[in-house]
Amino acid sequence: MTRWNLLFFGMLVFAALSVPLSAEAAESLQKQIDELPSGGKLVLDSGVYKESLLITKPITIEGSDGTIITQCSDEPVMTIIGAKVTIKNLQVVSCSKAEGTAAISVKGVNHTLENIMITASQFGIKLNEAHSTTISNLEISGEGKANGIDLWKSSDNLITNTVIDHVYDGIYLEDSHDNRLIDNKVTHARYGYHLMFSNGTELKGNHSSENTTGAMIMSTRDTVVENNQLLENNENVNAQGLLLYDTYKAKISHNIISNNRVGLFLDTSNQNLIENNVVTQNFIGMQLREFHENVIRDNSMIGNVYDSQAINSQDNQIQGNYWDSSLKLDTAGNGTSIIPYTSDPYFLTITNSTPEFQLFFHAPGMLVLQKLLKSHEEALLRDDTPRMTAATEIERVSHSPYPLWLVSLAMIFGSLVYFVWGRKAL
Amino acid sequence: MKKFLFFSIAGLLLLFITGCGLKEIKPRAIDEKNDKCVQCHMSVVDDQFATQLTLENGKTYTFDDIGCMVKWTRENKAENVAAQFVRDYESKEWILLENAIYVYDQEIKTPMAYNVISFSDEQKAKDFAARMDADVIASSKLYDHQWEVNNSMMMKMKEEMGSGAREHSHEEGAMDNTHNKDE
Repeated sequence: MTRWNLLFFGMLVFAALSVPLSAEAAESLQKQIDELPSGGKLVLDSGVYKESLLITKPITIEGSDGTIITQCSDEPVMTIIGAKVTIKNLQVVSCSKAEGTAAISVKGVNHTLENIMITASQFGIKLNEAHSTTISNLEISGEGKANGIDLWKSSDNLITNTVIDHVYDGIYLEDSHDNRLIDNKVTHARYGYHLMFSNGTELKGNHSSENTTGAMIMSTRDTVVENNQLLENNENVNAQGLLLYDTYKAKISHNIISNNRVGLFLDTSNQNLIENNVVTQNFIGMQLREFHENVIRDNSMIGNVYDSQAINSQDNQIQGNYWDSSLKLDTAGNGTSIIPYTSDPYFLTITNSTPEFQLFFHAPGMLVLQKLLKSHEEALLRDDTPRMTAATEIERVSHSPYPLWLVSLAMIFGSLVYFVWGRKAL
Repeated sequence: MKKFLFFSIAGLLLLFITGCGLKEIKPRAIDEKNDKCVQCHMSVVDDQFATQLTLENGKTYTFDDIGCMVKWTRENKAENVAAQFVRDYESKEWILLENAIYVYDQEIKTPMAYNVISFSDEQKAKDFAARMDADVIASSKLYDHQWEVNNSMMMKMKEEMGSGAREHSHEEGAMDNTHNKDE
């Protein structure tokens, strides 16, 4: 009997001990955050936390492998305001259907988001009046409905090493100045990087492929676009590698712009510098419209169906570019051709008004017409000192010659057999 | 009598034929995937900000913002515009530009930040404007409106740049160009 009593008592003690324990485990993350002092740190075990969090003071929240915070309401999974909040090593899943919600919403100054994997049905991260935020090593995948990272009135932020896939615009900046976007990658989005009314943005070492447009730079000034790769943006009829519109004093240099429908589309922009870019295998390499007082030099235009086209774009300084398709003659031996490069917008102008005429691409009659009805001298895009060789060597993919030999030999042999045998049969 | 009959039939036929030729211009649906704004190159979303115009030759151009259409029309005066359509802000129904009433306020967000929206119903426009303390613009005054992009940012640009950017803007429609406003 006493043994049973003892056991019962023991069970009671165990139960008494375990009740507060389980209560602590069930205590919400929000409560733990609220109880944390400023400057405190909360380390989360792996597991799924179904909550939406509000973080208002300078604390650090660090997850471990397999820490997932998820929420399907109209609230962001995490709302960060104030200053110096650090979020690290987490997975955030937002399955909100409400338009405009974000997985993580950020406001305030000096926050850090690091090593976070975000799956969002709407926005990935929204920076709304957030300044000096550091965002690094993030992965964002969406459903193509909203932007990956959306900046509004947010300045001096750094976004680096972020991989974004299947979103509306990869990184969207509006009314946000002096932000740095470095070494990011955006794929399967509408626009990779979309800048609007934002000055002093640095876009360096980013990659953008298979989007409608690699980088869309609109109504900005002092933008620096360097060492980016804008590739394979060619699925849409309006696709392009890089678009400048209403842009002033941008510096576009050392980018690789390949396999897009239009490589560089430069419209209604002044005083920009475009140099040392490699523009290859686009339908139109460089398309200019209402583009004035810009400098275009030392670019290499290789293997584009059309190297360039210009409409109402005079007074640009265009020199020392390499134009794949041009006639070249170097008499002085200084690597510069004495034959100026000119491009006539004739064909593209008439196909613009009547797209069906594209069927006459390189038709003999069209070439004759183009020679006969030569556009005005000032309508031409003209480079007086084109280069003999490309400034930058592009990698050549070398194929093994053996399969070609094999096929050729087989065909020679086949035809010989037919020739000898067939003649005898007659 | 026979002659009269012949002429009246011929006349009716002629009327009928010419009547057929005078097709009413109708707005077309927006194709989000392939339509782009011919002015600013952004893709056109099938929302209340989308606009379109049809030329006499039957060509239709789409725009993502009323401001873009106004700018394009000003810059392409040689084109014969047959009809311009905007949308009702609430129902998204297409309306002729001249039949709509407009509301402007800096706080109204539009794709290219011209901050002007259109209504089919005058009262609704006025109510909306009253709620936001915004300006109501009649369609006849639409082209006189100063189409400036995102004021706060442009002010900043102007302060920093001085006259630099202004010199290179188009001569036509000095007012339409955001960079030489207030001149």
